[in-house]
Amino acid sequence: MRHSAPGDIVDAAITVTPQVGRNPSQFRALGLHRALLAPIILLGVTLVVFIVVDLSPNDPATAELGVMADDEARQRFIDEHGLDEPLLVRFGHFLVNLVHLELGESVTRPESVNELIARALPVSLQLMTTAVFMSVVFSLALGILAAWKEGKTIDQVISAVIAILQASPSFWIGLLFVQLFAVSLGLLPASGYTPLSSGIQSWYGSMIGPAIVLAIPITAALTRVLRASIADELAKDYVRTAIGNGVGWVMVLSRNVLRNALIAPVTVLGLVIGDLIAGAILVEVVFNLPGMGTLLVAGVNQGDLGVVRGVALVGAIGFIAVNLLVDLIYLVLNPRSVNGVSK
Amino acid sequence: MTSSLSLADNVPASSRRGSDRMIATWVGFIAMGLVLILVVLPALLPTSPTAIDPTASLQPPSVAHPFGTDQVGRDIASRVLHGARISILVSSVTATLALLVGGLLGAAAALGPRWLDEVVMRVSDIGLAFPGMLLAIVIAASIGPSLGTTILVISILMTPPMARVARSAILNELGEDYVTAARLIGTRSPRILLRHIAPVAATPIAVYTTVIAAVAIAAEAGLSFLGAGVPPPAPSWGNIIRDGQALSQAGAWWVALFPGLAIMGAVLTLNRFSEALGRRLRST
Repeated sequence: MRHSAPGDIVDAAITVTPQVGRNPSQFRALGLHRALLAPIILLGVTLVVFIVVDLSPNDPATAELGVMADDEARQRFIDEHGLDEPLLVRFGHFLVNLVHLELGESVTRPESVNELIARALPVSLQLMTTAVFMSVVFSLALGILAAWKEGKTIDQVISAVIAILQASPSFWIGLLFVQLFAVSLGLLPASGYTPLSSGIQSWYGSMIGPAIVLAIPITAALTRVLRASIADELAKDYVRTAIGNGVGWVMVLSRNVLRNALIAPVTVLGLVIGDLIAGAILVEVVFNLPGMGTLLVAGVNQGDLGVVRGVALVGAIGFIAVNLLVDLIYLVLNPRSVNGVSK
Repeated sequence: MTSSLSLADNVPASSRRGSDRMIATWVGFIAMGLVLILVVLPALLPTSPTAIDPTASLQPPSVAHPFGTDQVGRDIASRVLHGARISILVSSVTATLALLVGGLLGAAAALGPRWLDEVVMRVSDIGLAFPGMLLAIVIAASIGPSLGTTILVISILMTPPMARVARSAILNELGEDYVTAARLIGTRSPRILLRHIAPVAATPIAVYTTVIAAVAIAAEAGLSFLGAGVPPPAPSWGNIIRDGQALSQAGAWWVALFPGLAIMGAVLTLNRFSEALGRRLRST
């Protein structure tokens, strides 16, 4: 990415603006700053989730005891759970439970929210890591190809296909995918999940479809950025010099070009984590995978706010942790960015 | 749903003259599309989007029903057309709200005292630190899904990034030589802001407003598909696809296909428009 062009104002608003300069102590300070900010953001996010769920007109006593419960039982329930205490006191209790990793009870299922999430989280993580792995592989191949053939037909075809895929909702692509490969061709199971313990082949069969569908928008986003940054890098003088001096293309590409060109995509990978979570929720629902998304949507449709709150918090914690990680990786890859974060 | 990523790549490297003409073409194209959807097509297609006709259940596309019918015999073409109105409403209201609130906050952060800048930026950090779709679903679950909730939620999600874009666009210009020069010859601050900075800073803000319009359409569709957006029987592209999910496994592919194509067309158009705007940004 060119950092002098006016168009980058928009990029710079989201990412840090790299500037020239390098100082190890500043580097550490910034890493520390990011790491210290994360818990504060986490607390803010937790408070937001707590307040939003608290706004609900659903009455937990009625949800737990049923509409037929007498006033005495209701009052006992309210006292036991401290429901008539002020919001901040209840938030305090909630935080204490959260520190003990207690996410509360589900009102529609016998299991606790902890147990439900313990079962659903591995499915979602498998889905997301498989999808990210696929997108990185596909987008590297497509990005290098498009940058290599910049302006040629193949580059234009890749760009057009990517524009169309980026505009299509992933749940819709998922439905068409199921229609084609499961219903019409019968190649894959239409829905459901087979755990890894019952054989890698059937696990793969249940995971490949959702992973491909989830990988499509991520691949599209990454390919666009990779194409632009590789093309920029290939146009630089050192590449011509290296090639002119007889260094092989493969060597220049892997040793120099990709190393420099990967800085922008790493940032983008951080930015697409939000899209990855949103996409996973939709894709799980389309393929009926019993992951966090399916759990969340079931919680929404059944009014099970304990489940909704638990899944949302775990999702937010993961999101914040990954973003922190991406920030730190970015610092390592591009130490010049240290000076650019302040106004 | 944090569409920030589309910013980084929506602006291709090639800068071109004649980009203004390109933008005019896109504005004309979008205006024509709006007239077609809001005025012409409803007149040509008088079937009600909620009229039930049990005799015409699950009919494939035909002359009478160009996009086919669903299980209770509702005309999909008419539902997609009326869904377009909801998409246009959500998209335009969201973009306007985010532009006004986010733009003002961003300007206040850039021009106001240091503490105000800190407050606005830290609050927007929290906003950006949350996976948007999750927050939207939680809010919908808590206060109940409705058209109003959907618009509100998407607007809240898009305001922090808008504030950042606006702040950054203004700050970027404050350091430019022409601003210093204007100040040196004694031009007063409000005049510098309105006559010199605003016209330049307007372009990135316009690009991002267009991005928000596109994101809002996709987000509404996603939420409605999950049952956390626009509730039935009102037709929205997302909830028609939700209806189509069960039906497509029974072979009725048309129910889900056409609203999806509509989303694709709308988002593609807005994405291309924001790219055209971005190209102008590069060429000036």
